[in-house]
Amino acid sequence: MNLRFVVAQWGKLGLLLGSLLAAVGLLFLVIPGEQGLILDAAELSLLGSGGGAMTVGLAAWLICRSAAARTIGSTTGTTQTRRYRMSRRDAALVTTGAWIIGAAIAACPFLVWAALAADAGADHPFHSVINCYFEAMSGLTTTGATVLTDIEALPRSLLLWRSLIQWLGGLGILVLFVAILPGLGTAAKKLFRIESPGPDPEGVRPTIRQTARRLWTLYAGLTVAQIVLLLVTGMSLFDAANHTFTTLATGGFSTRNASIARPESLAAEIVLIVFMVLAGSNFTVLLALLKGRWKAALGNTEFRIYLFCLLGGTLFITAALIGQEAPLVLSNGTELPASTGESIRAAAFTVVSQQTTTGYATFDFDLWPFAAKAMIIALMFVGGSAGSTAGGLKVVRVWIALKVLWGELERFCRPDVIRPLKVSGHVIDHEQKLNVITYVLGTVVLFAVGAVVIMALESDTSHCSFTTAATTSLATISTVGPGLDGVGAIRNYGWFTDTTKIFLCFLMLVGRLEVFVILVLFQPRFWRSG
Amino acid sequence: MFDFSIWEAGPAVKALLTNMTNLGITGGYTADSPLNGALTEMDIILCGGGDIGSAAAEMLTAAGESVTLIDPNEQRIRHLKDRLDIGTVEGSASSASVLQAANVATADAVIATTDVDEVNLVICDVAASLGAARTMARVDHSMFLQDEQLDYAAVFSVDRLFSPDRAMAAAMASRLRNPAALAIEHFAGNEIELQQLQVDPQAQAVGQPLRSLAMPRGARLAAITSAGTASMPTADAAVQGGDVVTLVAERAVFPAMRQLFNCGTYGRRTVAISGGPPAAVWLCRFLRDRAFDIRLFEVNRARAEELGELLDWVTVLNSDPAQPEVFEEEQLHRVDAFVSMRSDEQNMLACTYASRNGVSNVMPVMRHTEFQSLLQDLGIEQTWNPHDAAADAIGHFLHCNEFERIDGFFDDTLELMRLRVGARAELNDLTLANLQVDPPMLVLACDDDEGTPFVPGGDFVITTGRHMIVLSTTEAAGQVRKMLDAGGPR
Repeated sequence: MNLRFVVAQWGKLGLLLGSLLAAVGLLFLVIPGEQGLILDAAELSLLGSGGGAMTVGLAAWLICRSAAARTIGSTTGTTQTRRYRMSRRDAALVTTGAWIIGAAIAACPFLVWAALAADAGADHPFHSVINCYFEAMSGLTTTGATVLTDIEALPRSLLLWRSLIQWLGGLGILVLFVAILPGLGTAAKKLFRIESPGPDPEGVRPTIRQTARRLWTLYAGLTVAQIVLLLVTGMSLFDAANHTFTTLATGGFSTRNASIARPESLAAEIVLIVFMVLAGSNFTVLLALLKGRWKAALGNTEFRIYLFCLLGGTLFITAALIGQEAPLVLSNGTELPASTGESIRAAAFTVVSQQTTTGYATFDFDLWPFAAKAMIIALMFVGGSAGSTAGGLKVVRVWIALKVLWGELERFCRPDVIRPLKVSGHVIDHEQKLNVITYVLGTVVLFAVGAVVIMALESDTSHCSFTTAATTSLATISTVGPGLDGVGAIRNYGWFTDTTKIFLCFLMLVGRLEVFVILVLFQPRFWRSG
Repeated sequence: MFDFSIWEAGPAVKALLTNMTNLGITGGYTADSPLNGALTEMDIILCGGGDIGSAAAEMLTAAGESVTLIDPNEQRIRHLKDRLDIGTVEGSASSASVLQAANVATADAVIATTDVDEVNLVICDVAASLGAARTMARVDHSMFLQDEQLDYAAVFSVDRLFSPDRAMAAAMASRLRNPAALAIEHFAGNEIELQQLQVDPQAQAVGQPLRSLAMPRGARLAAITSAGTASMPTADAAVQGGDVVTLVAERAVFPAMRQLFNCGTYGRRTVAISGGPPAAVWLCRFLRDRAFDIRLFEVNRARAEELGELLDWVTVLNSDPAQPEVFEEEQLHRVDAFVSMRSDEQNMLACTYASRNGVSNVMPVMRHTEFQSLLQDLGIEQTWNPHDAAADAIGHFLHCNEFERIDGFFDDTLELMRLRVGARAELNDLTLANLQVDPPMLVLACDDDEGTPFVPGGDFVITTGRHMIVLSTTEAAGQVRKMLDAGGPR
């Protein structure tokens, strides 16, 4: 392991995020209609944090960059430098560190703003470092859990920054790194593997750098498309941009107190549903669809099961809602009768939002019948597709795990049977099966341990029920955001103790980076040299 | 397997053949000369003296053709030379000089039958460029036979690709699909099927005049065999229970046609296959539909895994079904058919064991015909082997432009033949409906301008160059051939 090398990479990240911060600050400084060219607290906090991050990043990079090159061949008298090859351990450390540091940088403007702004009351959550860090980590990992009760009171520039960090975290900050920074070479592959969700992409692929660029191009294209469509449906540019950033990242931060509640129109709601579905699909499938390769896209097993889950979940929950006498309650408190139309609308939006791990809320599903809630929890476990911005176990992993289970049941009676497990025509070999099973097991264990730890940490507060603890654990590991009961659709995470919040930050990070890379840091062998 | 030969080769080869004809490089065959394939001796070069090669040599010499066999193995050549009246050339057949030594330029056909697909393709390519009239290559890999993007036959200048394994598997599959059939044939690449069935006494068609039967379009009742005598039916004839009917139909309508004469219902049937050679893969492919539940047993772990990957609609087991525990555990006495595709000895033992334990339909593959009688003693009547299938395919290929008698359906009252309508045919431009009944003849199948086979209706017009399957009485057969200006004895 080469710590100097690792620090140099973190330095580059600081530069990158710092310049973005400064850019958002500048943007709001010059936008007409805001207070003109007068610096307000929010803009100052953005510019200041940006400047600070850039300075520290640049310094770290300058000091440590020499580690990236190594002198060889000195015995022969000639000096040749060779680029340092990143090891797997370096990659793991760079990635994990990048997210931890990235969240810290992203949290800075919140903290600075709370200290500077007069309109942030003394009891504003952002006065606490831990709250700010939680909000930033929740953003970067696309969880969308917030500590804020009054979101609309936040300055617009900070709201945009809050959405923007979700957008960055959606595809992965290091994927962006790989796409735009030159000279990473094979290191790029190692970084990319760790950060992109789901099992390794299979088949013939272009270089990792091309892939990363292609992904970001697609991501940016989808962003523009959704903003335009939302504008057409009547949303303001600011709301459209913010909601687009958090939809495509399957993040779920909204600019409104009652989450998305009832958007401007049914059309807007449909646009949001469609783009959530897209964001939760495998991006390679989307690329195939864009190129008109319908057959390849629709033949993708995962894509089909993903759509089937969304559809099945919607039908199931609609059926559960239609019959009930109690009214449906919007997340802003309005009561609506459980008519067929409203039930379908409620079920479709909620299922899509929860399974793709976005976490927008239109209805307070905490009040729904038990069956509907159980289905939502199940879908939160499954999550979106591999190679998407969504979290959760991922559809393909659940599918493989179920097939392995089914296969083992058959082997109980027929030990000699040979039935290769195929997904989209590719055989899943023994090693991949083991990997998937381990992943599922790891996540489930982590979920259980998480629930227990949260209960233990919250034993002093009265409002943490078992449901709250369990769904909090699930909602953070799957990077969904809202859970049930204490963290239900219309609640927030502000009431947790600081220790719990730090623990939840850990769970979110583990969920986003898919368990292994974080857990490996806890293995003593990782830190031993040689 | 019988087929309309040239139809199977596809338009590409057909075009190639036409081109060759135009260029005058057809050797002994020109499209319009009324050459009698059955009467003229052909010069045939066989490359490779393995199982398939020697079986083909035996078949061809028995049919009176002149055979030159090329093989690099001196011992093998000497052995074959002792046994058969053939010419031999020692060496590798992909070498131009070796082929020239075998007089490739004047030969009527070059047939490559070595074990290696790629070698066979190269032999044909080299032979074609040295002026061989026609070439045929044995290929066993499905890649060469099923590629949709590339016509390998055209790329390697091969007029016909054939796979003995595939042909054998196809024959086994049609036996499995039609357990009630007494005899089965396929024409034109499986598009048209001919079967003989015993009529059920309760069947719908019994006792009714044929004209009142609602036969599906594309199907035909060719003959009725009653009390051992076959006859061509008139519109007023009626079938009785116990008669044997000969049905010809396009594949899609065959089940509907069969229903009229045979009440047997075909539910989901279970098949156990022992051994996983390429032929087993072909068999599984041919049986791939809901009607069959297939279990494939392969003792070699690596091969079993390969098969499992390839055939995901089949249950692959890494065990030997001839072992009593496995047989019991899998309840193999309940399978509808037990196919054995391992070595001859293993097949004999496995099939005998299965037969003794209650499997009614056992299908052993036997490469050596010497054991046939032994199996008959054990109560197993029919065996299968790739050599016969290969010999059939070669025979067909060689006579593809010409006349051929199809044996095995009728004793001596009726004659089934495949022929090509000549330019001087008296019946040219007549529709089938306008044909006088004398001499009695029935056109069972023919091809359209694109080469697609079909069972013709009354409005079909006889024209020069059509390939047809014709049924006639034995006495009138010569006259029919003459009126159609087809080859063969008149």
